[in-house]
This record gives sequence, C-alpha cells and structure tokens, in this order.
Amino acid sequence: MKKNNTLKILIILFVSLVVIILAFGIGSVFVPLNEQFWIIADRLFKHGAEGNYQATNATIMTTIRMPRALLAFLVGGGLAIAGVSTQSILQNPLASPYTLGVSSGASLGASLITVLEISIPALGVFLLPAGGFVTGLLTVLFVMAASYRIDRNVKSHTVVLMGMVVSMFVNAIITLLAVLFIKHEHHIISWTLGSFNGKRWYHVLILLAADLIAIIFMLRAHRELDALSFGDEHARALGVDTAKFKWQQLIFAALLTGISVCFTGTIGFVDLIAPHVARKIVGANHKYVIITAFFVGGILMCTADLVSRTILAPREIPVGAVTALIGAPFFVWLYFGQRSKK
Amino acid sequence: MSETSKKGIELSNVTSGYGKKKVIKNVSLFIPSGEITAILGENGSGKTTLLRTIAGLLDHEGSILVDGEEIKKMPYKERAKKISLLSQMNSAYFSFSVYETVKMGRYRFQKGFFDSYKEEDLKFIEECMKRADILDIKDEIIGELSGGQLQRVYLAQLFAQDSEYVFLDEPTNHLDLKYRVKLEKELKESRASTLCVYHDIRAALDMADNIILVKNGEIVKYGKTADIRESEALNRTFDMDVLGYLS
Repeated sequence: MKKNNTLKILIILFVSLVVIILAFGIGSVFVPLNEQFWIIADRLFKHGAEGNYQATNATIMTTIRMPRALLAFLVGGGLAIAGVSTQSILQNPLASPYTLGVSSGASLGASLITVLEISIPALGVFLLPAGGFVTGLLTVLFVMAASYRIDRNVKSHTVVLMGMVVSMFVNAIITLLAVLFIKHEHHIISWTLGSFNGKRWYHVLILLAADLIAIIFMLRAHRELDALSFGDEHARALGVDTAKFKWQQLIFAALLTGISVCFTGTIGFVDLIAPHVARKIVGANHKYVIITAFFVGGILMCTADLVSRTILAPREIPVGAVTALIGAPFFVWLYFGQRSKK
Repeated sequence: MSETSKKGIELSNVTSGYGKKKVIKNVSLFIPSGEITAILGENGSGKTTLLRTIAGLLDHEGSILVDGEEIKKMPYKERAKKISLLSQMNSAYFSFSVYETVKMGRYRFQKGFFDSYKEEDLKFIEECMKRADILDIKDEIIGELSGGQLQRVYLAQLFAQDSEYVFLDEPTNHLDLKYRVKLEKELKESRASTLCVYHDIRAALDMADNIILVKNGEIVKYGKTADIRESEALNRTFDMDVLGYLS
C-alpha cells in the first residue's frame, strides 16, 4: 500500500507537470515545450539563450501565462486541502468550505464593496479581495459561534446544517443586491464565478506561501484527521481533543479558503471533488490524501482555467462556470455511480 | 463505597445526559480495578449513557475520579491511556484498511510529524489482530466487511490502545457464537479492569465480578455478582420475574 501510494503520488506529480506545461504553452499564441524550457532557463539562470525563443513568446509566457497557470494550480491545491480538512472534521463527504459559508460570505463582502462603491485609497486594488476575505471569515465565525451556541461539542451535522442555512441566506442577499443595483450586476456575477485573468507573480508568491504552510499544518494533523473519520466520540476515546482540534481546523480551512478565493472570486466544486478523487486514488489515510488532494485540486483548477480561456477564445468563460459545468456531472458519477455499484 | 486510596473509578453524585435532558441522575459508586463489572438494565434505562459518562465522553455534574484523578481535568491522551471504549455505534466515513484501523489504536503513543511506530508497536498491533482473529483480512477495506468482522476490527483497535480500563458497550453484538465465547473467555482470563454493558443477563452473571443494575438513570442495586444473582432487585430492574426465568 505504502509503496503503491508513493508511486501513485509520483504519477500525479508528473501529470501536474504536464498540465502546467500545457497551460504555459496553449493560448492565442502557441509556445512549444523547447521554447518554454529556454525561456525559463534564461529567466532563472541568465543563460543568454535569447536566440532560442521569440521575445514576444517570452513576454506572454512570463508575464501572463505562467503567473495565471501557477496561481490556478495553487488556488486549486489550497481549496482541495481546505476541502479535505472540512470533509474530515465534519465527517461528511459532501462538505466543503462552501458548506461553512466562507465563499458566500466572501462574495457578500465583495458585492457590498461594489454596490456601495466603497473606496479606501490605501488598499487600492486589494480592497475587494480584502473585503471578501474579512466577510468570508466573519461568516464562518458566525456559523461556528451559532453552532457552538446550539451544541457545545460542535457536532458535525450542526455545523453542516448551520453553514447551509447561513450560505443560503447570504446568497439570497447577494441576489437581492444584484437586482437592486442593476448597474453592478455584471461585476457581482463575475466575482461570484471567479477568474484568473490578469493575475501577477505577487499573487502566486502569496498563495505559494499559504499553501506550503497549509500542507505542513495539515500533515502535522494527519493522525487526528484519520481518527476523526470514525466519528467524534470514537476519536475522543482514542485520545483526540476533538472540540479543540475541530475549532483549529475550521479556522484553518476558513483562512485557507479566504486566501485562495480572495484574489480570484469564488470558484466552486474543486474543494468538493479533489478530496474524493484523492481518496479514490490513495485510500483514506490522510498522510497520502493531503498531498494527493493538493495536486489533484491543482490539476483540476489549472485544466478548468485552460478550458475557460481557450474553448471560446478570444472570449473567456468564468472559471467557476467551467468547474461547475464539469464538476457537477463528474461528482454525480464519482459519488453516486460508485455507490450504486455497491 | 468511598475508597479513593484503592485503584478504581469513583463516581460521586454524577448527573449527565444530552442537552437539558438528564439521563443519569445523581449516581455514586466505586468500580474496583482488576475486576469485571457489568451494567444491566432495560432498553433506554441509561446503561450506555452511564458508560459514556464514566469514559469522560459526556458533560457531567459531580465528580468522576479515575485512580484518584478527576477525569474532566485529564488531557484526552491521558484519558485514552486509562480508558478505551468499544462503542455500540461505530461507523467509518472513509475507507481505511483493517490494518490502518487497528493501528489507530496506538494514537495515544504517537508523537512527531509522521508515523513513529516502533518495532514493538508493530508486533503488538499484529498480536492484537491475532487475538481478534483478523490477521487474514488485514488489507481489506473496512467498509466492505460484515458486521461481525467489523466488530472484531474495533476490538483489535481497542486491544491496541492497551489502556488500563476497558469499556465495552454490547461487545458481542454482531459476533457469532464462536467469537462470542472466545471474547467472553478472554475477558474472564485477562482479568483486565472491564466495565461492560450487557443485554444478556445470564452471560453477565456468568462473567462479571460485580453487577450494576440501572433503571431510569438511577442505580437500583450494585454489588458482587453472587449477591445480585439471587436478589429481588433483578426483578425490579427489568419489571419481570427474572429470577424465575434464570432458574
């Protein structure tokens, strides 16, 4: 099992590399693999290999496609890890950071800033993501506080139900805002569907740091996550302080989701699907699930972004629409298809 | 029976339940270490709630001292060192292998970033799987096992936890006759400190050193099995002629 899983993770790593190379290369201008190699080598090592590639291709690749593809990969990976955390602590395979209300809360914040035309010069372009981040966190804190008030052990179904109710309520407010402030309708819808358009290297670096911290944090907790898969009481009997651990994980999942979506807008389904795919590949042991889900999430998001910007080129479809269009039937096949076989 | 100097579990005025509903009412008793104690009572009498309360899994009023230490104040890993529990309602939400599931019993011994199973840990885990007779299915996925096999997997996990007190809630549920007899024999022979919820009155009287009779969340009678065997309290606990049935 252990050797098999190591091999499987290496294969997924290879697939990740292929997807990233494709995302670097495909677009209005095709950048072949050898050119990609020389461009990267030149940028990294000041190789002096300018003769091996076209200057315009280098500009397109390093300033537009690379940050975009890498950010998509990192956002997908981050959301997948947040999904693993949420599903494990809530012991619910249908849970995701969406269930906690993070995404809808972030959308509400962004929508409010848009319709009220709030402007804080010191924050500049970061106002919208910062607002989304704060309201996403506030929403999940509200969900957790309300769940805690009802049930001091913060049982899974309490949080899931509370999260669903709050999400629905918040989504209704967003719809209302879009209808009442019709001139901002397009902007609100765009944010709720997400996009990687126009993203820069600093976005990549922020997400890279967040994901690295997230992977380490989650790997440290892999045993507790394993134990919690058997239910709260079982985990407590094994020696896990479940209430404390669940609080830590919920805050972690909210933070990671907030950071992941705050630059791009909310993008659904990857956080729900990637953990399932990972478990199908490497089993239930979180030591393997965490790493695998990160790469699967990255692959899914990077592919979805590639599809979103190429399938109707030069027009671009919001990436959230692509993940939902592919993700919904895929999830039905993955979850219910396997169950009906049993 | 206040014997704080003696090893065992002492309950003083313990009340517990679910939310506002109090199921266990003002219970005080002392469960001695090194003996088998069975909890008997009708369905819904509070047997499982009493077991879960003593295991420190439910909020409670009053005091529960495990070998002189207040359970509320013990960190969860310390509690797991003292008490292991085989629950009646076990479920796994994700598909672990039998081996991975049993290994989790060693959680309280684990430290550091990755697994830190020593050679003796792995040998012990294998021994526990042998005791539960599940060595041949160790690579199978637990979601694909029968109820009886799954019960034996959780028993092996309980053995792997290697705690001082073993709490069992209907341990013979799903087990066929062969494994039921094997488990009862093993519990008797091991002389482990065991607290066990039982439906089968005969089996409990045959196996246990002490019996707690529970009705409506209160203790009807608690004492040595020899005294309970012929006590009229059995009839009161079950609202029927238990003594006649047993004879």
